[in-house]
Amino acid sequence: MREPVENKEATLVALARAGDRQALEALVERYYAALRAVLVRYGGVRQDEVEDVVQETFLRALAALDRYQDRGHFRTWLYRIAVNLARDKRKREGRVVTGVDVSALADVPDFGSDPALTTLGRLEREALAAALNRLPESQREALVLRFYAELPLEDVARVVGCPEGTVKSRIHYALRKLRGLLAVEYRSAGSAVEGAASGHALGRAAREREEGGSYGR
Amino acid sequence: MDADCGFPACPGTGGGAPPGREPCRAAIDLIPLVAAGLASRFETERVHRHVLECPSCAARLDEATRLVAAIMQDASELACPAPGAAASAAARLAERMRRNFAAAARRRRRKRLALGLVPVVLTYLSALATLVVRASGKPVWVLAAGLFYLASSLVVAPVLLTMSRPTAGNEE
Repeated sequence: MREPVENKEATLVALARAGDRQALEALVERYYAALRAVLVRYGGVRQDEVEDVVQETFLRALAALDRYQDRGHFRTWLYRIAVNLARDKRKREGRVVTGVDVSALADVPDFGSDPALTTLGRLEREALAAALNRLPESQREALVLRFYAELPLEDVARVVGCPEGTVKSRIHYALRKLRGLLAVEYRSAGSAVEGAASGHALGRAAREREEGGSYGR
Repeated sequence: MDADCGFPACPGTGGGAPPGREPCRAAIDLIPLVAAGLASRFETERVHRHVLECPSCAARLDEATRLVAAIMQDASELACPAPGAAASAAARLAERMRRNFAAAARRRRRKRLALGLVPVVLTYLSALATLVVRASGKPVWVLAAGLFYLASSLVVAPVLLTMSRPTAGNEE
């Protein structure tokens, strides 16, 4: 099932490089949202510049595809470029903690009362973004590619250039560390945050940890 | 700890484990991967069997699952751009690619023009040299100027041939 999808993508990429507007639109539609999420949560790109970086990512990926040996996997090439751009920006400008652009969420569907689908509170999102930002680079990279780009482990390994087992272990340590960092975020944010977040998953997780949970120590 | 859970008893931090029950380090180590859906089926089943018997590990698994769910929720909300955003991004990208292509084509034309001037200059120089030498009247210098002219043509011809080949792609 995988191969035809990749073949189709290779055709789209070839057409887009030759200037076919529809193929280009199809590629952008396919990766636009996930690329934005990856760039924002990687921590080097501000909300107001994320559009430009997404554009830059596509331009470079399409222009320099000849230099990529594994051309059948455009997706991993695209994310590798995105991660490199975000890393360079982060090195140049320092880390950027970003919540979410409220205007961009204007048309998010209402999930109603289903607790599994309830949107995150602003404070929870900020705490999560701040905690992600404090992760070591290799762990943040693996976590962001796995959950924000929704890449399978195999593709994350391709993007970061290390074995799948290493990626798995980075995600493992990232989750353990995140848990500790989130508790610190909530503690440092004080009672206002604690109170506001009390009904939410991350607030509960942080409180319970302080009450005596111990994994990840 | 239940003998069937498959994990060796692990002395160590008490954490939230009830008195008389030792926490299981192996389960604790696997919990983040199980929550993230990255553990093998065997590992997942072992952890699930274990948490049935161990309330503190059950709480850890629950907490890790909620953390992963929060990350996934954050990801899905971030990856929810305004309607039409992708289409307008594609349009801008197409325009930038077109501009890049045009700029690259301009650069190629300029380079070709500059290289095209080389044989003209060389021809002019050799003609000038021939005139100067003829004025001095020594046949050996006339021969040298002729050879110089021939050599310069031989050098320039392959360059011109290379430049006249069509170049593909729009990359820089």
